[in-house]
Amino acid sequence: MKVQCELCPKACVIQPGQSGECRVRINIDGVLRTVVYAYPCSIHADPVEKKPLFHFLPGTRILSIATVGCNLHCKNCQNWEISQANPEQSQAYFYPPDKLVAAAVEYGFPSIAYTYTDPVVYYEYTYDTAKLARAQNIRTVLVTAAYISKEPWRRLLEFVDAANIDLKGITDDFYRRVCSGTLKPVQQALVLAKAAGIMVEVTNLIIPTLNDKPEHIRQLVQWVRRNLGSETPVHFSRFSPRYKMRHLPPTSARTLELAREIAMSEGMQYIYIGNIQSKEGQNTYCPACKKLLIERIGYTVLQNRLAEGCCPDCGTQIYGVWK
Amino acid sequence: MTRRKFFTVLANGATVVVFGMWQLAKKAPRKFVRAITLDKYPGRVKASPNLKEDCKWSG
Repeated sequence: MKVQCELCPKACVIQPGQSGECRVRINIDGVLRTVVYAYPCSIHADPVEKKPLFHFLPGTRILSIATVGCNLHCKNCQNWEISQANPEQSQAYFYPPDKLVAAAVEYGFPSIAYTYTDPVVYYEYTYDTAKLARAQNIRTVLVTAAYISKEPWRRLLEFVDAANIDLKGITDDFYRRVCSGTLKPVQQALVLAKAAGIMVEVTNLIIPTLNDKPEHIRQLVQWVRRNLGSETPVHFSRFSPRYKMRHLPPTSARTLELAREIAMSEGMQYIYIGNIQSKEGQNTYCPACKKLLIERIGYTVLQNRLAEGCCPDCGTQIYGVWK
Repeated sequence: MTRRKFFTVLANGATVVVFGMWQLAKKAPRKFVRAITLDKYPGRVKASPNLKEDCKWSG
């Protein structure tokens, strides 16, 4: 008997013995099963700035996990060796939710990130772990493309504290051609996350010739400002040639600086540049008095002047989770 | 109207109603159902990770 997976907008109809597009949700005897529950292929301690999250417990380390699989197939994927891998050909650790949360408590991590691939495809594992973590005062962070159906997304958001959500482009054509997805569900997920009170940061990877037109960057920023608010931090990240896009050059520093200038001119308050050294593009400044608040180099916080989440000079409250 | 014609009209009407409801049910949003976990990982299971090891993955 066929089954339909309703987790993401792809709504795969799966034949017996087959998997959905994500490779990790399979039909066994007419029952939908998740292959990767409790089996992360990667567990690491990362700086939270690497996610990137610049407005969430700066300077802390975050227990970061992923399983194999992804429901998108971005031609530029930086982690394609795990995101596009079959579970049968992969290696994983056995870490059920209670063991993972216990490890976070034992090693003193304030938060757990579901990252590297996409937590959407290991939804049940993320959900159960996030619920347990909440009970232990461990925060939950998602790093995701948010290509997910509304109902499971709403349910998961109950146990999420922060998310870095990819807005990969602002045209449906880009999502279809480069990512094998569509734009609208991602926009809906972003709006739902913000409305749910999650601390949301947005990442846009700028790929030369594909989504680097100034008018597209402006449209993207305008959409974020209108729908998520000008306080939403946006990270413009540098593309590196990977996977099926080795023929394109890396994004130039000038393009990233231009994107930042466009976003600032549109009234966005916190605009960052990632995967490249940039003095101003890595620091947080007060949107009111323009004074330096958090100075960073790479993933390292050099100084954090925030006082109870506010600018110490003018008292403006800064969007984020600071303690 | 004969009794036979009456029952024919009634049956046709019922068929239309049932077909219409079936079509509506197909289009109605269904409740998300969680996938059930699998007992055994199909790939290789490794020993515990070294958390101090540098991560090579982006994100």
